[in-house]
Amino acid sequence: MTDSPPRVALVTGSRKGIGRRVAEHFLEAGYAVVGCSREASDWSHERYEHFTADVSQEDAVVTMLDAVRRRHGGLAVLVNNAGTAAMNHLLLTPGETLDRLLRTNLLGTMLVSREAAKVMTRGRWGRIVSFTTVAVPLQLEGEAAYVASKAGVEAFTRVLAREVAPMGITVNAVGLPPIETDLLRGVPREKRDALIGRLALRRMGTFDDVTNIVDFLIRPESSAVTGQIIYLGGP
Amino acid sequence: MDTIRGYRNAMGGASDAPLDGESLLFGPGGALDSIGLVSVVVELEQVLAERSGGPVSLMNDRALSRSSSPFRTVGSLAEYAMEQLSAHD
Repeated sequence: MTDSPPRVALVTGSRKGIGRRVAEHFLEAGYAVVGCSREASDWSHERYEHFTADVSQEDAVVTMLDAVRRRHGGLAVLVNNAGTAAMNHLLLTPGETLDRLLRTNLLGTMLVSREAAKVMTRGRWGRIVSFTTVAVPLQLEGEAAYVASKAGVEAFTRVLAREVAPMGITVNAVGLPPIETDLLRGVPREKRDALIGRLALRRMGTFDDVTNIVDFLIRPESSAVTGQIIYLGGP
Repeated sequence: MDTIRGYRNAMGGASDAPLDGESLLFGPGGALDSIGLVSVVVELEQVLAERSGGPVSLMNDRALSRSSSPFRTVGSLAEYAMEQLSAHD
């Protein structure tokens, strides 16, 4: 049992966008950071290690977390960021798209969380943070599959929080508003504005909004905050 | 058995029931509570991974569908763990 786990964080989908910003934020805070994405990373840092891994592939996830355990001896933080989106009416959504959304967003989150929690269990301390979306409470039309996958992440978060609480691990999710990323670039401007118009806070989210809430959730003082879904922007 | 003892010690000696190969792992009179069983299996996987040089998973559909569960007694778990370790050699 340890009171101070190694300052090691794993961020999935860290090649670009929010994942990269979160990974860089941890590096600035002095963490050793492990990241992954389906493609090789085009950025580097002396305390950053990148795995080319698809989070929906069980073998790749098991191998990655085994490497984390061997190299670092533990894991303090997991941020489940890897995700994909597709905006389309369900009646026009191919089965391959449904499969990809559920595999990456839900199965990927489940597999990485399972293996990360195993590593965290040894230290009896851990913080798991997953990203969901304000589109879940807004029940956003045109995003049925994406919303369903993220609603699954939210339900998974609440149940996993109960299962791993005895191991000193907290599990929470952050519901993101629209943020300027590649994922959002394919969404028409009027759709984006309409979504923001349904939020209490009528602005895009920022990377600082995201790192701020992640910092709060991973603090040692937040040990009583678990099983929560915290939405940014006020949906 | 060391892994189970380690867990029980870490939990402040939650149970001091004697431990041998025939000891039930879980359930009435078992050596472990439900969280204890999870923690011991996870710890055992990591011990085996360190010995084998690669990840070892004790939980798979084959193990769960066996007519005699490898997770019934301390002895059956030890035997099953050695089987999995041999499979990685």
